Amino acid sequence: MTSTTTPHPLHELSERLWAAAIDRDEPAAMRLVTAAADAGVDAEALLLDVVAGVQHRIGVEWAADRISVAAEHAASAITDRVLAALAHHQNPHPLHLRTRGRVTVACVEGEWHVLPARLLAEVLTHRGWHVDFLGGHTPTPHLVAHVHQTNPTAVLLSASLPTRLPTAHNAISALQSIGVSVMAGGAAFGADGRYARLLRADAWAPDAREAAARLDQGLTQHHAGRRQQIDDDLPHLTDQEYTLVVTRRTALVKQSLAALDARWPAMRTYSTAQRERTAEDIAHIVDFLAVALYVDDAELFTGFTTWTAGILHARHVPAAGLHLGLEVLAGQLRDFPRTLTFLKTATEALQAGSHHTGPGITA
Amino acid sequence: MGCARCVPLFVIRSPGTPDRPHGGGVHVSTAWAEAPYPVLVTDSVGDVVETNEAASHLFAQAGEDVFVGSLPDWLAQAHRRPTPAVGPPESASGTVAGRTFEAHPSPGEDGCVVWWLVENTDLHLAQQALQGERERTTILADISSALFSSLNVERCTEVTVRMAADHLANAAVVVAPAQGRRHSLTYTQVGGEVAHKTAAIDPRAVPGLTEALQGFPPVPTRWIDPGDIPDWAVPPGFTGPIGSVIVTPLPGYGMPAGVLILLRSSTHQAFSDGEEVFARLFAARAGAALSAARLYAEQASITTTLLRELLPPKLERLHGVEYAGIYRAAKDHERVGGDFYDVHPGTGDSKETFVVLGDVAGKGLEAAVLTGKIRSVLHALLPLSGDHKHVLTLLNDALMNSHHTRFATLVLASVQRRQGEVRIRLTSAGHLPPLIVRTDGRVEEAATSGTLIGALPEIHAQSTEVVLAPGETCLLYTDGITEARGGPLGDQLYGEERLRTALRECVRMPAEAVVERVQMLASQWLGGREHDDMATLAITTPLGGGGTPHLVGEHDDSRPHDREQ
Amino acid sequence: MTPYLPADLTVTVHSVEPYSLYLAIAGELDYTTTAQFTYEVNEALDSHRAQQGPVLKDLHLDWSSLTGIDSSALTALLLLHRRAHPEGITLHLHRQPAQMTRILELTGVAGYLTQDAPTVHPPGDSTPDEPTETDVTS
Repeated sequence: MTSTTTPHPLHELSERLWAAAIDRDEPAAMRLVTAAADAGVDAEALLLDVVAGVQHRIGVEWAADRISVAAEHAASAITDRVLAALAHHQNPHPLHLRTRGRVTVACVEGEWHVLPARLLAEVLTHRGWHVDFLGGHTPTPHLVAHVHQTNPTAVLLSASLPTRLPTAHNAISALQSIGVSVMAGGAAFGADGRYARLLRADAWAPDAREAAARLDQGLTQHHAGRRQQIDDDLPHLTDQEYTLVVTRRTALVKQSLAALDARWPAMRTYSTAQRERTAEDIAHIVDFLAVALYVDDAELFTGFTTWTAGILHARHVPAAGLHLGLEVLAGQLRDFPRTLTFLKTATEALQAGSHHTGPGITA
Repeated sequence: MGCARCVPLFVIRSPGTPDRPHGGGVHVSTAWAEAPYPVLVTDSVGDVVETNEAASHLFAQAGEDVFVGSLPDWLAQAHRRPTPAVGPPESASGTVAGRTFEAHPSPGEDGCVVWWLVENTDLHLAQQALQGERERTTILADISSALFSSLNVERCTEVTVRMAADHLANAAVVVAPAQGRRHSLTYTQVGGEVAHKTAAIDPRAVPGLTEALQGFPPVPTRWIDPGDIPDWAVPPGFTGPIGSVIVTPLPGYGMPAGVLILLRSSTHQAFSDGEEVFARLFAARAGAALSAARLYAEQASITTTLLRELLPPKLERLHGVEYAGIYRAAKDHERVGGDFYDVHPGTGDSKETFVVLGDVAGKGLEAAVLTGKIRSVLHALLPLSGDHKHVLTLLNDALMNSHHTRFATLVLASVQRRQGEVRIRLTSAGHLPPLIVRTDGRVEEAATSGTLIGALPEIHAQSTEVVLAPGETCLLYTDGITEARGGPLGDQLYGEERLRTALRECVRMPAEAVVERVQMLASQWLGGREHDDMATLAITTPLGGGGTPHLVGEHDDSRPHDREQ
Repeated sequence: MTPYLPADLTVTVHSVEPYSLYLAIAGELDYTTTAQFTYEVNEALDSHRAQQGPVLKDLHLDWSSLTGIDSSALTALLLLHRRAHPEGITLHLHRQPAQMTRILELTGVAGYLTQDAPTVHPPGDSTPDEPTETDVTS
């Protein structure tokens, strides 16, 4: 997906599209891709190597603090629109040619990173599937109603942020219990799809091409009713640590703020907005801690923490605050042995100074 | 006979036969010889060296001469097992002459073993029956959950034919009630795919089908002559012999859910007792599930039709101005609520586009119905849209004269593109003033105010005009956004200040990206908490100079939108 | 840890005079509590009418203990106005939070809500054919 794997002619195109996106020059971006499409560049390569590649680069550049958050949003918006326009421009498969059956593509509720799902929808449409694309942030009840009404062969569920995993789990089991197979995809499920397996998705794919290939092989039809209870999937949840951390989220944030106030003099000079940022950061840490507890994987939390440290490092923010944040949280969660182990592992990784590639918010 | 001598020891020590015949005082050889239990004596290599009368009789029934051959397989295997060092020797069980026995061994002298065979055929049969019953119950439970888990008629029908083929026949067909003159047919055969077809068939071609499709009066399951069935009733590609054909009605709720036709290779024209019960339960459940699915589909279709007018419209670029809207209903399972927006493309020379965004007090369908009414009234008032105050006064009169007690707040916008810029006349009727995102990052509040609609006999309204340069956006939104309660501390309102801060980052963004960003931030702020309806509508002057920064050679407007939303 | 409690609303009768009724509202006036607000204020009005006859001229609402408000408060206030004015009762809002002022100004109903009610019952006018003890439903 990155420029290193892009063949030369597409590399050139990728560079120009990147420049147009960063320049917020939507018309130029549109002209570039349509000209390429008209010149016969393979549609899938255009989607997956060029557009997705540029989107990936936007995420990387933002993480490295080489572009601002505003630039990141604007550029992402442009790649998104380029993609939508490209789909319209090409659209080689009218309804009657959609011979491969019907599938539903959607983002998990709360997931707003639509691009990976949209790319997948386009690739599948291009390959002759009848795709119902429900877009970002699809509430599970809508998804279930849609499946009742359209009877798709499979639902392809996308999630980018790991904090969406509990919701994804709920969606997967709800869909399976009405007899439809679910393929999971997106960075949230882990680079090796480990969380897709954990949450008992029927299939997992690392990217759109692989997803299309897996669909071609055919997913095993799910036997409704054979689906276990959702809590049977994750026996470690019986220790209640996940539930308690989630229900205490607000209190944890408030108490951590108070503890930071007491222990970190710099906090006292913060403006209201800065304090709110700090509160949000703590809330974010709690969210990742909770989801790590949910999937019982310390590595998920450590990955998030070291990735955050990398982001802070790129912005010349000392990681001391992060260290202290973990310490303060540990102080409040003394009765939670699993949680404490996770916090300890993450703290040790921070001290070792390893930087993680990130929890995967980039396309 | 040495081996015979070992018998008394066995008889006395035998642990496994509490109802052993005769007491220890009886002469032993007579004891086992006359025992009603078959008794075999085998030597060390497993050859039978002696039997009693009961055993001879039993093996004669089985047509086996145990003296010549050796033991039945199961007994021979048991014989070869080493004797455990501690505890009684292991017994074995198996069948002889169709009866089941438990064989209890006892070691004797010289490696001889005496086997007492205790019949447990009845127990075994009872266990088998229980096992069968359990399996049927499990299958029925499986079938029920498979059938009732989906509310999709097609899938329900698929499950019905597949289960019928798996458990009751070699192939199965479901004939759905007619839609007009056509029937939907669903086929499968054991191990095969499910096939669908819709055809104008004559039900009279299959005896009993017409009656079964009518569902009333109740008709029993019928066996019919395989020669009587037409080609359409046989799954495509089914080549197996058809020995018998069964026509079973699938009873629905007050109306027939369809008819199941089973094709069996057996020519025997009856179910076994177990099958009979099973088939009846199966038909009842399949019929109920299909009816439920059909009912759901009808309801869903009615709801879709009724809601179609109430759903927010899909917005797009008009006359060189970008419009984008996102609507999120208060309840995640609902699609409509008290917020609404519309964009009416301008006609005539001015090409002034008329935009409205509003909020009816209340939530849910009841509020949505009033939004529908307001939208209709405004649509009718389009010719007057040049005069916002006039439109609002007429709308107010219309709402005051109706009987409901609800009111609404709204913003009207008349949008016109002139050369590179966009002029918007804005009027708030008791609604949050729109926010203007300037290219330099300033966020301004439009200077408009007025009375809400539908509560006061007289209203006032102050309009304003704003001009948007390329890359600038005018955002109309409802208080569901600013009243979103949550945030890291859990109990704070998102508020106008945070909204303004967020909008400062939306300079030079496409309209679609602006509304997505605002909705995303509000949604993240909520973090899954309850919320009111939330609507956002962005009006944006596109970047890139010319009015058509769209694709070269694109036919955006003429291309059918064939992707479902 | 503090257990989560749903937002609560209380309406307290502060003082009762023949022509004036003082109510204090505390807690949250939002989507979940507006029905309760309407019910309790109506109760207070009914009870005043039952005890004093239809002579009430001023209803004073003290908002100083209000902790939260959302736009549905407006519905509640308009409903109250709809009931009070035909009975000749003028609404008076005291010490309302800024958010309430903002909502009332934004929607242009501030002046309307507190305008003087038409005179329905002149002071001292007790109509014998209207048994005040039972007339609590109007």
